[in-house]
Amino acid sequence: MRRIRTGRAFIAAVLVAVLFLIYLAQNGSFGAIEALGITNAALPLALVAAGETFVILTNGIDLSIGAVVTMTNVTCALVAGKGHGILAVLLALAVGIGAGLLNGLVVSYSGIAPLIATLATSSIYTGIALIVLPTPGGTVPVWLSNVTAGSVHSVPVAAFWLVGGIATGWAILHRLPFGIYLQALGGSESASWSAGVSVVRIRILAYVASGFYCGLAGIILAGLTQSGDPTIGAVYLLNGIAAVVVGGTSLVGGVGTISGSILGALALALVSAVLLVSGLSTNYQYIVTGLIVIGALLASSLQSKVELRRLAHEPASEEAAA
Amino acid sequence: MKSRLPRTYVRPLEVAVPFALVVVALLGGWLTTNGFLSSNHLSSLGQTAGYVGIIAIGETLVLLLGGIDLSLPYTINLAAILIAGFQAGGMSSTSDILLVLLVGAGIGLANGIGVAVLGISPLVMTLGMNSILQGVSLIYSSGSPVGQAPSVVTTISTGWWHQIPYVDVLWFVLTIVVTLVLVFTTFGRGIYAIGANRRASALSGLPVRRTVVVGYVLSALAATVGGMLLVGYSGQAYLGQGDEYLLPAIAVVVIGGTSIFGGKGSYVQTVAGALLITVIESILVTVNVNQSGQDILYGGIILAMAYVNQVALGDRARLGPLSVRLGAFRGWLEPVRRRPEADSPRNPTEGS
Repeated sequence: MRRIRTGRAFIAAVLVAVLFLIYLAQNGSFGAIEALGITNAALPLALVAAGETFVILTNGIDLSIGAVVTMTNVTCALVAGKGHGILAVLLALAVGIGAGLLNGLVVSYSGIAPLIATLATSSIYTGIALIVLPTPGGTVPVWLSNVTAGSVHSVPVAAFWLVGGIATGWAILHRLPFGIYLQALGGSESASWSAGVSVVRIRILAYVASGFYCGLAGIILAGLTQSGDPTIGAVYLLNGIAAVVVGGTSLVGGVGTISGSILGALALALVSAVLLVSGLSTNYQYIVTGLIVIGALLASSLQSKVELRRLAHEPASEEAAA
Repeated sequence: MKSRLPRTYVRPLEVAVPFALVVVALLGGWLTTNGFLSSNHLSSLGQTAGYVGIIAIGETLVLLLGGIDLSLPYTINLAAILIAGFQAGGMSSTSDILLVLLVGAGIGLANGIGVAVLGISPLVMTLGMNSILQGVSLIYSSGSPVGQAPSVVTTISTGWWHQIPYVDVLWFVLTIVVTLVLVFTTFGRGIYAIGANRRASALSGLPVRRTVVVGYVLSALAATVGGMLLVGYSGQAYLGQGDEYLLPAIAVVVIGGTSIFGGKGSYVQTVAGALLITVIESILVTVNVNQSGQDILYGGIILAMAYVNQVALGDRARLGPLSVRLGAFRGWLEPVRRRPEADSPRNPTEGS
């Protein structure tokens, strides 16, 4: 069982390695500048994808991630622009958590499908973001830029965030009861319910986690761009889901990893970097991304099939017994 | 013979509710705005609703099948860019239109094969396709689309006859055709059956894969027609032309009361949904609600209508509270060929 799960993140890891080698071959060298560019492009997407993973693990979907990123981004930039840096970060996180909480409550108590519920709240959050900051603007304090876009001894700060994200995600999913219940819920809601898992609470927490991670992404985007933009989140909706899929998380829930999603985001960021150094038009990036997303899903479904067949043919082994 | 019509196809209450709301919304407009019910304004409302309505034909069929099509934005945009680009190339209008329709059918075919034959989840397949089409649109147009719509498309899209927009005549004809096909043909009834229970349909010998593929082809064709009409409306093609239609195309289907889990609903309800959202948006504009207010109300309307249609009218009455929650998470994400219970074994606490 564990083998299947690590195998799923494995596809994204191979993809990252291959893309990185192509990048290296095309560019000739890989230094601090290149690392900074790639990790800075990947970081917000990785955070959004990590958040979306929690929701997809419950067999739901959160289409409001882009709007939540926008809403927290403009909140952070607006408040920080008035000179309250710490307050801006805390407020933006609170906005993200609040948005996730609303999603979780609507999905859990109204019976409306997550797809429709989060599509609707996405529209609402976009509207709120436009009220907060109708046009791009606001500023962020220098320290916020430094902890997001800076480098420490030529290692990008974003790399630390990415490693931290992978470690935290692993700990949440495999060491905390919440993570175990989350995967159980996605695997079989009725079985989890029978086993005494509070499915409603776990599901709401999953949406809250999504909101929290989107809040982080919004703050980091504010740090990277040094301003707020009421349209900044739109691209993170589809790319965020794409990164989760490339990361090998099953869309029907129950199987997936945060590290896979973060590697998926890194792979998508590498695609545009590779195209850029190859001298190809970045317009090809959309085609390559689309093919990678579809291909990754095909590959992982093929992989589970092979894995299943192997398990079926070895009934005496431990995995098959489990 | 009437008794042989399953209740799924004809649900008078569910058709009547959204249409009644359209009347209420029109009355609301009449009360708040002078000349809201003037023939000129009604015509322009009908025209606006026509574009969304025609585009939503495909999404209705695909949602009835229990799938979803997220490749609409760039199917629309590619159709728009191609028709204008072909015209700039100086070929005849007829061959251009046919060629664009052919491209549209090809897009739908690829989606359908991906979903029905390769077993890719509809969400990912159409999401990936949208990205691919975005790249194709950018590369074909080099970032700046050229050309104009053929005159015949412009006429259909913006022409009038005694205050009746031609696009509404087209919409009306398509509505009748789609409804007749859904209710009276084997293909149409197959869509309901497959949407309601894919495995049972396959075991009963329905051509599940073929029906799903055709459903996605029709979805892409509807978006293609919509894209061409939009070029006729705006006079030229531009990048991002389809972006604003993804949310409305799904929203009008849901507002009309078609279940996104498949098997329940009808295109007539989607027509009501398109009319309703157009009238409400028009009211919001005339009473000077700004963009942010419109967005917020839009989301609120979707939530409210989804609640009324899917919970109050439908599912909750039939099922217990827990199974409603279960139902809300099953169905639309699955690959066509098999149920998730049948494949990937999950035992999440294992091995950690």
